[in-house]
Amino acid sequence: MGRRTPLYSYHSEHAHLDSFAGFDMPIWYDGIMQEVMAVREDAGLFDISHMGRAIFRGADSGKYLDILTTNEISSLEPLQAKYTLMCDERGGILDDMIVCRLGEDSFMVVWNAANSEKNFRWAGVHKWEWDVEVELLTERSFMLAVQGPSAQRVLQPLCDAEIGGIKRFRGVNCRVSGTECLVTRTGYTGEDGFEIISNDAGKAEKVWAGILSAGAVPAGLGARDVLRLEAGLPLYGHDINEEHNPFEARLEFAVRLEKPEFIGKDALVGIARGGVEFKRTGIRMADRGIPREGFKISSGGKEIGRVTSGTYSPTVKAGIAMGYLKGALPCGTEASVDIRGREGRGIISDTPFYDETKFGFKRRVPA
Amino acid sequence: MPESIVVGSSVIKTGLCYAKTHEWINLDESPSTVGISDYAQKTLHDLVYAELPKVGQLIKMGTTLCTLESIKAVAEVYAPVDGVVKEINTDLSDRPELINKDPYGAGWLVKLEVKGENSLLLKPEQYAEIVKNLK
Repeated sequence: MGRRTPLYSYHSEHAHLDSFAGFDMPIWYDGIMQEVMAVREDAGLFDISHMGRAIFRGADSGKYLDILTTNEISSLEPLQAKYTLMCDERGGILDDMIVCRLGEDSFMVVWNAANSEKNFRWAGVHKWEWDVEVELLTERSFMLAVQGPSAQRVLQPLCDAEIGGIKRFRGVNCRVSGTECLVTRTGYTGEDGFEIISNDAGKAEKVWAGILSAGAVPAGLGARDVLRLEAGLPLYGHDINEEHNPFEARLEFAVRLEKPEFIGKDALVGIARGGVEFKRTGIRMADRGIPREGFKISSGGKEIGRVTSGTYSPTVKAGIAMGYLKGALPCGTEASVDIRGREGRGIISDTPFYDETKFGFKRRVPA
Repeated sequence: MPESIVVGSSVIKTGLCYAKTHEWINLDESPSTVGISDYAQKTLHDLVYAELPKVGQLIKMGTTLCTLESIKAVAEVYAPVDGVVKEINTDLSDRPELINKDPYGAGWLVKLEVKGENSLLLKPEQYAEIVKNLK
């Protein structure tokens, strides 16, 4: 038996469960396809309580997160969030995470479930004499995501604060279905939406039920994986890991080389100067094949890389994948994917894979 | 005789023969229609692609007859008998979801001209026992 989130009893009754990062998690409720489309066209609700949540507290916590991660954290305003990376001394990616400033001396850090204990130890080892305490609160808290063009309409009636004015990567403290929560305009689907964290695990079922009855469709990790891939967002352990650096992973927007000091800086300065041979690149199938992790990608008869994650995309109605490909191939370049011995025709693509005028948070006409 | 046996949420249609690997074959007709069981389609879930063999291909029992892909997984469908492919369900190229919607009807995969023995096949009641033990 794996670890369970506070919503396990709902999931075990309504979802197909599977093990993910040590947790028994809902993979789908009524079907991955319909859950993906619900998020693209309306609103989906995810239990993401398995995600690692840590609070960094103390007078040096902002400065410390500047050292520990690649982005600039100390300049965040209260209730502002930022995507950042934790790298090792070689510049390899230990994890990616979102940090939200809670107050003057405290930050909420949300990182990957599979890395939570590893990160916690890493954060402890580098603490030296700094005034900072790190506390894991995954166990006694819960975390939900409401995602999709209707997310605000669904969630607003349950909140005792106005959430329509919250910008992306900003948040508010308010009650949701009567429970004190941190609500941020963030997500992992490419859509508009909110992530909700509460320190009171006992209220998880009430908040969950409130959001469902307000009109969101429950969605599982199967849909979440498809949605993040369609949006071109990397998944740790598949698309990014310690063997890849932020420049290869095209995550350099989260690296502030001008900071005086951070773990991995020397290596990353060298990598930035020297350039990288392989870059994380999107590929979209022009025929019916579905690229899967590990499949070979070739161009001009030569292997140029492998798929790090791939799926069928219900939104673009084709197989899509990402992988580290050699050379900076322009979009539209033909590349083939070895699909169990058959040559699948692929095209190098920009991400998000979907048409951003029709889907995603930048869409012109809200659904 | 009832038209089907129900095990949990899975329907096992009578009048067909089954393989342990969840394929069905209708030996009352020639060529014999082959598909996957309701249990199999439920387990695979949301099929998005069916790679079918070529008409005329000779396929040995237990070897790959078709490859089915769902969003999350790839599954092989094995030939329940030795046979020659006489027909394939071309509707599946545009509508692979037919396998999920109607596994014993419109979601059939191929028609095989059966060659040789088929003594390893299971009766619906025997296959129902297997599904029961998987639950």
